[in-house]
Amino acid sequence: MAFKPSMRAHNKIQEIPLDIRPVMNLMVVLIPVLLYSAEFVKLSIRELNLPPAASAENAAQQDDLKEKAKRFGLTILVSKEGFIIGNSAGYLTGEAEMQDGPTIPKVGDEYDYADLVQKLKDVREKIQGQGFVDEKSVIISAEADIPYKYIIKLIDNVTTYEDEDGTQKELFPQINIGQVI
Amino acid sequence: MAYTPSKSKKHTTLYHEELNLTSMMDAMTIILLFLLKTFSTSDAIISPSSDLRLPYSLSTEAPHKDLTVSVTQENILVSDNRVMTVSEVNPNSNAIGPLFSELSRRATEAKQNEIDYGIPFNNEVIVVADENVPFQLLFRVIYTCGSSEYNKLRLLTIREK
Repeated sequence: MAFKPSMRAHNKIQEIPLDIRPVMNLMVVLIPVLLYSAEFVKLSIRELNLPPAASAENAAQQDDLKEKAKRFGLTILVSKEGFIIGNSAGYLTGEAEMQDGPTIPKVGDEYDYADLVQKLKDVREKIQGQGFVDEKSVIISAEADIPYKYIIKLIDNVTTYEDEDGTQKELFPQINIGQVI
Repeated sequence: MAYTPSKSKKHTTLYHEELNLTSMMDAMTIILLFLLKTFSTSDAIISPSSDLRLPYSLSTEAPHKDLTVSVTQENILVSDNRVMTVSEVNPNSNAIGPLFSELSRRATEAKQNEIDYGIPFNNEVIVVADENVPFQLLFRVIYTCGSSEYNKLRLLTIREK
């Protein structure tokens, strides 16, 4: 009679549970570290163009430049009734029947950005290639108590516009802030 | 005499059970990935407060740490130190006196640092303003920054998705 096979042969297959406690420890430490440095609100900036503080010698230089250069001086003014587009020569008038009103009146309680972008595109087409040094810049101004958020919204709409095929194109990327005189 | 329970059998039911951590590990891995995605190495530029709500903008330009001038609904701060309250602004002048002297002081300091330690003075300032600040106040702050050698201005906004 043959021997009964030894029971030891089966001892080798033994499941050892994986010890994941060290990994867990690491996770527990990593999560607070990453939470601390997490960026939940993405910030961005808008650049403004401002002339350097005037000193005696560069003021003279600037006057020189001003005489040589042809300036268009496109200005957008935000009033409580709507936008007024103009330049040093005068203002664009809006609808024929309301001479004194803004160029682009508000629609209800909202500013009409779509119409503004359309008008600015027309202006851009007209002044392009005519040798204006400031053909990419615009002066933004507003009435004294217009909230800042409307200015930022206006800057967004003035710097770039979306083409028919959905690409971003630049309109007047150089922004200056001015005051109503 | 009562029957004595078997001493050996009594303990056989108490076998050791391992805590199953697999599902917790799954959750942790997902949280870890999410946090890694939002990870940012830059310092916080603003200290949030209830009267400083930034406007939303489409701009995608990333900000970097610089001198900040914050305009909340009540106070004007330079680098998180209060300089003055909004009600102290002189309504008849474009320049804001206390802000101007604070900025000039910092500009002189920065220029001295440039000479002493070679830290370049870049004339840059970030204007952090509440979305309801009136234009006139904003203009005055910008004007004051411009006239005190900080003429590279940036407006801080929240990026819109």
